[in-house]
Amino acid sequence: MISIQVLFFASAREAAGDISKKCIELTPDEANTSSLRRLLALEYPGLASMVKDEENLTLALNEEYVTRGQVLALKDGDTIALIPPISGG
Amino acid sequence: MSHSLLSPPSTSFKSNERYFIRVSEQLPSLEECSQFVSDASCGAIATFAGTTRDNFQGKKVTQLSYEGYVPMAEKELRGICDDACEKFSGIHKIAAVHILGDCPVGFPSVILACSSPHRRESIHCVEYLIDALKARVPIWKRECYEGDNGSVWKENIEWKEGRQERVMIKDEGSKVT
Repeated sequence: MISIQVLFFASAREAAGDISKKCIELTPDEANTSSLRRLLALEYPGLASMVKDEENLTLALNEEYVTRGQVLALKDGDTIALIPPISGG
Repeated sequence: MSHSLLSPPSTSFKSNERYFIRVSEQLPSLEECSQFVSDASCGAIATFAGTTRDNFQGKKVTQLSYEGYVPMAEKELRGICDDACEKFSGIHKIAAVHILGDCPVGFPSVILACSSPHRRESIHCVEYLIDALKARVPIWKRECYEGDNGSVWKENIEWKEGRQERVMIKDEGSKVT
């Protein structure tokens, strides 16, 4: 098993029940961004429609955006942030 | 000479840093940002301040409330400053600061400032900085309305457009293979 940190922001944080940080364990088979989306949808039903939709929710792996269509491998100690559409400025 | 619009560079900002970047509940002032970029070699300082507007589509806005992924937001701001310096060769220094938490009507939420020997680079640079910030810096705002009108998370059009661009580039790439 590997362990990663997931950070929830703005509408994603609220949809998950106002959780801003969660440590998640993944089996070697699940250690990628695509499986993580599926697991988060199961664990947080309120977040499901958002987290499964790349249009609606972008991921950042260790402070770098994951571009749409890209599936990245995850390793122990990684940080994934759930990034809903941004609105700074 | 005693009536200058901006004070000369203050000693507290005598740093060798090229950028002054901050995403924080304590927003540095426009004056601090101008002082940071000010330099004897530069004849131009351009600044941009984004402030909370009191209305949106006929609804009365009471405040904006900001949330940010601070380390990544500061990292993206640094990247934007690097891109700006590459794009506009005369840029000497840049300040890019953004507030977190509540920002009432009329108060600034974002301040950008840059300096250059001549005016054009700075004027164009500051426009580039705010457009890029809206497209890629992970900060969110909730717009709060008066009375029973609630509040909503906003979405920047620049973010949406940027995503479409990235996908188009990717699609073109896959056609080649």
